Amino acid sequence: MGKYLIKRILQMIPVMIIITMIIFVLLNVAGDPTVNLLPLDATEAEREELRTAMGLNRPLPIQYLDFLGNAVKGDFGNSYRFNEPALDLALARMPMSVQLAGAALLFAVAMAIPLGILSAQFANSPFDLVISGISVLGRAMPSFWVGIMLILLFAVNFRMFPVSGSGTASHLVLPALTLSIQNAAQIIPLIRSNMLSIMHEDYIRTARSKGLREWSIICIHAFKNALVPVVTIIALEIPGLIGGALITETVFAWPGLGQFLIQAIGNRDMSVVQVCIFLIALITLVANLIADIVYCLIDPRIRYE
Amino acid sequence: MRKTSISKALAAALACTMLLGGCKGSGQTGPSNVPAESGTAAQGGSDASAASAGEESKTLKIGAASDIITLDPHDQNQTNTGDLFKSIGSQLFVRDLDFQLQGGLCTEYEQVDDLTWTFKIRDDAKFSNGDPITVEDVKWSLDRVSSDESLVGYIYFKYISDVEILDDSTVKITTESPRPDMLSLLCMSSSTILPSKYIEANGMEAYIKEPVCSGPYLLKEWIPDDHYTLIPNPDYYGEPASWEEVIVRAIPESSTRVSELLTGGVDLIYNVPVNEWDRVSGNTEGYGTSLVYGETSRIMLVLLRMTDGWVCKDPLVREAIECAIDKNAICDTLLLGAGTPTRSRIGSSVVGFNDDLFGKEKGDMYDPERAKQLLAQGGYSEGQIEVNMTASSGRYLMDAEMAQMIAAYLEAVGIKVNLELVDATVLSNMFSGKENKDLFMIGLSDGQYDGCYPLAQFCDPIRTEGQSDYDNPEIVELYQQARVEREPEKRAELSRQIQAIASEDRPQICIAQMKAIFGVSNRVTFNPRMDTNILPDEVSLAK
Repeated sequence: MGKYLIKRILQMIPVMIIITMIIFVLLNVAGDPTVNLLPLDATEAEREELRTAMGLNRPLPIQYLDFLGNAVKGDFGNSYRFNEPALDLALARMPMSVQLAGAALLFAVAMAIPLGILSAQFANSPFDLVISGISVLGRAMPSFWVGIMLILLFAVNFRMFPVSGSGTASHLVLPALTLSIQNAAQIIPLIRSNMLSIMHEDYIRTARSKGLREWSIICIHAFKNALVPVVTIIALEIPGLIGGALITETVFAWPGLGQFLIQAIGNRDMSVVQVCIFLIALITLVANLIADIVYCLIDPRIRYE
Repeated sequence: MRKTSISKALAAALACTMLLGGCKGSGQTGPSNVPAESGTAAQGGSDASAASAGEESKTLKIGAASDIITLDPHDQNQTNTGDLFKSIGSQLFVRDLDFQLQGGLCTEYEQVDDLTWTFKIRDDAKFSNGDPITVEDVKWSLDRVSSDESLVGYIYFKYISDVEILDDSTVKITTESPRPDMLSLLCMSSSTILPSKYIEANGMEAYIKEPVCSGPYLLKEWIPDDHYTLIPNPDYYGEPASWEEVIVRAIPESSTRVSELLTGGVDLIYNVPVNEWDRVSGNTEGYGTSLVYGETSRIMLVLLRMTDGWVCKDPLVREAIECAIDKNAICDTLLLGAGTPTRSRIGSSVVGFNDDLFGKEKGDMYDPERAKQLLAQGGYSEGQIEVNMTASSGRYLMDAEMAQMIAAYLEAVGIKVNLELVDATVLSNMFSGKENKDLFMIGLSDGQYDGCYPLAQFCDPIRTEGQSDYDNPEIVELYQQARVEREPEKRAELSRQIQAIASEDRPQICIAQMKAIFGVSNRVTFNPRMDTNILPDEVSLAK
């Protein structure tokens, strides 16, 4: 296991380098950051002055190597927009994104587990059909639409929650709910199908023949084994929730990493985009690693060599 | 009761998640000298249980479309970041609600010659750390913004060659070339006077972390991408601040901004999109809300590529294009009154504005029959002329629809249009990259509110290259005179002459002078300024 972990961690290094290279090339191909910093009618000479002052007139490979050399030391450069270290700015927004992702996962799991289990228990009943239908709908609805609808319903009409912003627990409810709907919609059918196949396994039959109560068979014996693919999905969703909630964070004016990234892309704030993608890639790799470790804990039959 | 308990139960369930996520203190900024007890902790978002604005009548909440970008006033060129520095900082000059220049820190000034100005500054102004605002601070600040090429404000102040201290209250500014627009420059938020002693002792980073203020308000805190909060500056030298607290929130999504306004979460919002106008003007709940229109200096225009060999080189074609476009219909039916037809690049209220080229009658030359005649006179058969037109989608109010209307008008007189709609970033890149393929629609503002600034866009052959390729020696000569003319009325007259010539040459066809649309709670009254800056003390409680 130890060797496996070291191997996996070492594998992350080339992946991160390739990701930074792709992002660097894409951002530079996308255009000139001075376009957004100077007035539209600034002359080419004025733009060139600013490019020189910012070091953007050097050859791209040299700019990239400089970036990589500094990144190894934890220096991702300064944001063009804020003129502050990009890493500090991105890290400052992480707690808000972690908060939102945590709440969304909490909501998603709290909705998905009971509904998934009940769907499996009452398979092919009207209840199961309704839940399956809701799952499909949940996956089909785009998050910006869900967010705006939740605002209209719960904030504008019923005045139950604030429209947007952050600062109190009630501010967290609507954005977390928006994010959780899609996640829950993914997890529900997964739990349902796993539970259905597991409920026909021999060890479940054995448990029943031993006279165990049905709820203990479902919740302890069956559900634990149905969890492995669910953990995979959750692990894959975490990076998306922390760094990828671009639309939801924008709709709810939530000051997290997603909104920060979308603004940085719009402003061509290259250092910030690079550091945000770097962090999201790192979280993705670490989340996958953690998922692999959790497999072992849930199912002792799984072993890594 | 039930609603409240559900809301509380859900909120409580999330409290643990918030603890796991950590507190939101990171990134907070505020001056060290702000009294700890002043004001209440600002929270973004409307408080659903205390939606009544009456409970906090001396707190003004503003919903901006984007957050401020920096706390370095010299390194920005953005309207709502400028709002902040006009509230917490001091400039030598300010513009009043009628857009007239008034003294800020400056009490007297004199233009000694074309290149030299002297300014006397007031002796009762001080920074929030107790330091007086001195001529050393003025020199240090203007030296910084006029010499550091990496600052965004440098582009405006690079013409300053020297700032000299003459005595305890007077500075002399020398420019490389004549700058009759000097006073307009010194109004800009990027000319904010910074505390030189404090910055030299602690560094610019320390200032950015804890700004030392000198305007009517102090910056209590800034939570990036969320909000900033202002509280009154008790030591301000001018009129005391009229609000006990001002919270400016960043709400990028327009429908969310409107919902915040309707629920009393904010009192005033920027940029209400057309599809939300009915929702805002029809709302009678609470205090009710209204739409408020304000003039801006932004002119929507179509640049015509007059390069040799291009179709718009022919003046008959250019005139036909202008005659084909019904600007009144665009302003009335598409913009619903949020634009005024114009043939001038200089907006009303700006120095040098030409009234003969503006308004429903004078600003519109719509005459499709004449357009057809002009094309026939030029020997063009119907459909023979084919132009490529580029415009943005989503950057300006109804821009894509406006471009489609213009294309339809041109098609109606026999000009085939290949319309390309691009997003805001691509449009900026194409404009800077000088990629006009025939017709290029864009909205251009006047950052200095002085006629010479927008005129440069078509009077300076370096700037017109690749955009219109307009090069009229007569206009270049008049522009050179206007740039150095010290007499404001003579400069304005030169600007008017330039516009009159350009309106006949048509390197660009101006469509409309745009209005800014604000959503305002009836709890407050608000008269927009032409620069669209929202200064808290220009918003007051409704009687």
